[in-house]
Amino acid sequence: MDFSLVFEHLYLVLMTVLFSVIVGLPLGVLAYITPSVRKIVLWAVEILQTIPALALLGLIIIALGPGKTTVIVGLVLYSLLPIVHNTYIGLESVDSGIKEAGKGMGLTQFDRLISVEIPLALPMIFTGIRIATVTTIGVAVFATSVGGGGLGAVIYKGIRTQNMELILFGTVALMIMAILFDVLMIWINNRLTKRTSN
Amino acid sequence: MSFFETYGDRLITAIQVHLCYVLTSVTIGFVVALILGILLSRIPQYAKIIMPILSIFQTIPGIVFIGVLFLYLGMIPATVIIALAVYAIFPVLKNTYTGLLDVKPEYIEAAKGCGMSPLQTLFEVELPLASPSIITGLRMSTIYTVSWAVLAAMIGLGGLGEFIYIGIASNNNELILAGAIPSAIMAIILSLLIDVLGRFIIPKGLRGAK
Amino acid sequence: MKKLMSFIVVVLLALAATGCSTGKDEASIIIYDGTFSEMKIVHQMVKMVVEDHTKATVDIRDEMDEVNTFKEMVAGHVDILNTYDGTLLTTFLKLDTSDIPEGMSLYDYANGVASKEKGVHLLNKLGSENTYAVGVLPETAEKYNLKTISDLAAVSDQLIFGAEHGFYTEEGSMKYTPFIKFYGLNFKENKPIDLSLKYAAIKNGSIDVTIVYTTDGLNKEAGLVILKDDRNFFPEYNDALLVRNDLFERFKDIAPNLEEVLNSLGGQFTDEIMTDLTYEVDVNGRTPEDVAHEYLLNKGLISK
Repeated sequence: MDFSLVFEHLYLVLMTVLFSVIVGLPLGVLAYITPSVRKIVLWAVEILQTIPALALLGLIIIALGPGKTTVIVGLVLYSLLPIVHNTYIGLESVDSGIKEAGKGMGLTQFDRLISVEIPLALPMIFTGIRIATVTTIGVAVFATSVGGGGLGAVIYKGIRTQNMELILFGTVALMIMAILFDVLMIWINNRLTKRTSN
Repeated sequence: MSFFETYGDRLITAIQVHLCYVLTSVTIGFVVALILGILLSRIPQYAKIIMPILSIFQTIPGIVFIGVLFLYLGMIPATVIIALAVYAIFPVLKNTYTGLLDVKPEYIEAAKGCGMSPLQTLFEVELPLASPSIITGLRMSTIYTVSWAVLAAMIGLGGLGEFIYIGIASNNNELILAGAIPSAIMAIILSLLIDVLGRFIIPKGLRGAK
Repeated sequence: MKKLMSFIVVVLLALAATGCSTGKDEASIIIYDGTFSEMKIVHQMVKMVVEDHTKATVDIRDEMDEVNTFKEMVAGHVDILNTYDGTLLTTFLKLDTSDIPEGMSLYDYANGVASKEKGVHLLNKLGSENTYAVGVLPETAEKYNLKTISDLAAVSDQLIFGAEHGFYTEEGSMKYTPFIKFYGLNFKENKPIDLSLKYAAIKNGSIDVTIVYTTDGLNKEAGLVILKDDRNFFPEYNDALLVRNDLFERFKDIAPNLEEVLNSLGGQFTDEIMTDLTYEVDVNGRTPEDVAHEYLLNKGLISK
C-alpha cells in the first residue's frame, strides 16, 4: 500500500485550511466591521458553495493549469463558507457589555478587535475551521481528476479495477483522517473555551 | 454553430433529470431523517453514541459510495437516488435531533400539565419549536444534494454532471459552465423556496430568530 | 494558547515549504505522469534507461491530463511524454486525418507539423499500437454474430452503447457522433460513463458495446471481443515518446547519448506485450516501476 498518497492528501488538506484561514478570517472580520459589504461577502461565499466541486476544479484548471495549485485554490474557495460565517457570527455574538467596556477604556476599533473581540470569538471561529477541515478531507478526493494526487487516485484505481481492497484502503484512510482531525480539533476547542471563560 | 443549437435539447433534459434526482432523494432523505431524529430524541442516552457513529459514515466520499453501489446494483436510477438520499439524511437528522433536544423542558411539562399525550406534545409543541432548526437542515441538505447529483453522470445516468464530466474530459469550459451554472441556480432557487416554506411552517413567535 | 497557534502555523508553513520545493531540481528531465497504466509503465522505463545509461536524472511528477501536459511541454516545463502519433495529430494539434497529404504517413506528417509549430517531435515508434477499438462481451458477439464494426449496423438498435465522457464532445473527429454516422449505427441508448466504471458497466450488462483501447489489460481481464475497424474510422495510434526539440542540446554535457538511449526503447514492444504489461498493473495490482524494471532487465536494456 502506498502511504505517500496519505501524506499527499494530508498536505492538500493542510494547505487548503491554512489558506482558507488566511483569506477567510479577514473576510469574516470585514463582514463584521463594515455592514455595507456584509451582505455581499456572506452572499458570495454562499454562492461559491452551490457550485459543484468537480465543476469548480474543472474551471480553475483552465485558468491555472492542472496540479496542486488548482486543487488548493478550488478547495479554499469551497471551505470559505464555514470560516467566514463563523468568524462573523462569533464576533457579532461577543457580549455587547464587553464591547462597550473596551470602548470606554479608549481602545481603538483595531485594538478592540485584536485584544478583546477576536480572542472571545475564537472558539466559534475554530469550530468553523474544524468544519472546513473535515469537509475538505472528503472533497479533496476530486483532486485526482485535475492532477492533484492524493487518496482520490487510490479510490479511482480501486473502482476502475474493481479492487475492493484498494477502495477500502482509500476510504478507511480518509475516514480515519477525518475522525482524527475532528477529535483533535474538538479537544483544542475545549481548551480554548476554558481559557476564554476563565 | 452556436452553443445552444448544439447542446440546447440535451441541456434541458439534463436539468429535468437533475431536478428529478434531487427532489426524489431529498424527499426520501428528509422523511427518513425526520423519523430517525424523532426516535433518537426519545432515547438521548443511546443517541449520544449512535449520532457520532452515523456521522462517521458521512465522511465516506460520494464517489466511493455511488461507485460501489453501482458495482452491486448496476446502472439504474435507484443507485443514484439511494446514494443521494443517504447523504441528504445527515444534515436533517442532526438538526432535527438537536432542535428537539433544545426544546426547553418547561414547555414539555406545561404541555403535560394541559393534559396532552406524548404524541400530541411532539406534534403540537416540540416539532413546531424545533422547526427553524429542521428547516435549516433541509436547506443544507438540498444545497448539498444538488451539488452531489453531479455524480449521477459518473455512472452513466445523465443530469447536469454529464456536461461537467464531458467538459473536464475535453478541457471545454463552456461545457463545464453549462453544467455548473444551472446547478448553482437550481441550488439557490430551491434554497429560497425552502425559506418561503419555512415562513409558513415556523410558528410566528420564532420567526427571525436563528 | 498563542504558543499552540503559532506552533500550528509554523508546522503548516514548514509543510508548505517542503511541498513547494520538491522536484525543483534544474538538472532533471521533467515528466508529468499519465493517467493510465501504459503511460506510467513507459515513463518508468524512460527513467530507468536514462538513469542507467547517462548521468541525467528523471523526475516523474504527479499524474496530469495529457492535453495539459502537452501545453506545459510546449511552454517548456515538461521534457518527455509517452504518447501516440494519432493523439499528437488529432488531440494536440487539432488536425484531422484528412489533412495528411497523399502518400505521407500519419507519423511523418504529425511529426513535421509538431516540430515546426510547437518545438516538439516524436522519437522512434515503440512498436505497439494503442488505437481505439470497439469491444463487446463474447455472449453478445456470438448472439449477433459480430466480427467487425460494420456487423453492428444491422443490430445496433437492440444494443446499448456506453463510453467515457471524453468520447462525447461535439468537437473533433474521433467522437461519438462522427463514429455512428460513419458506420451507420443507431444504438437503442447511449450512456456517457466515467472511464473508471466502463468495464464494470459492460460486465454487469448495463451497456452492451463500448470503446476500448487495444492495449488495455482490462480488455483481457473482462474477456472482451474486439470488433475489427473494417472501414478504418479510427486512425493509427502508434506509441512513441514525444520530446522537446531542445532536450538533447540542453542535456548534452551530462547525457551526450540521450537520444540513442531513449531510442533504445524503440521497436521493443508489440500490442500483446503492452497488453500483458498493463494487465500486470491493472489486474494483478503490481506497481508500474516493478513491471517496467522486470521487462527492461529481461530485455537487457538496463544493467541492474
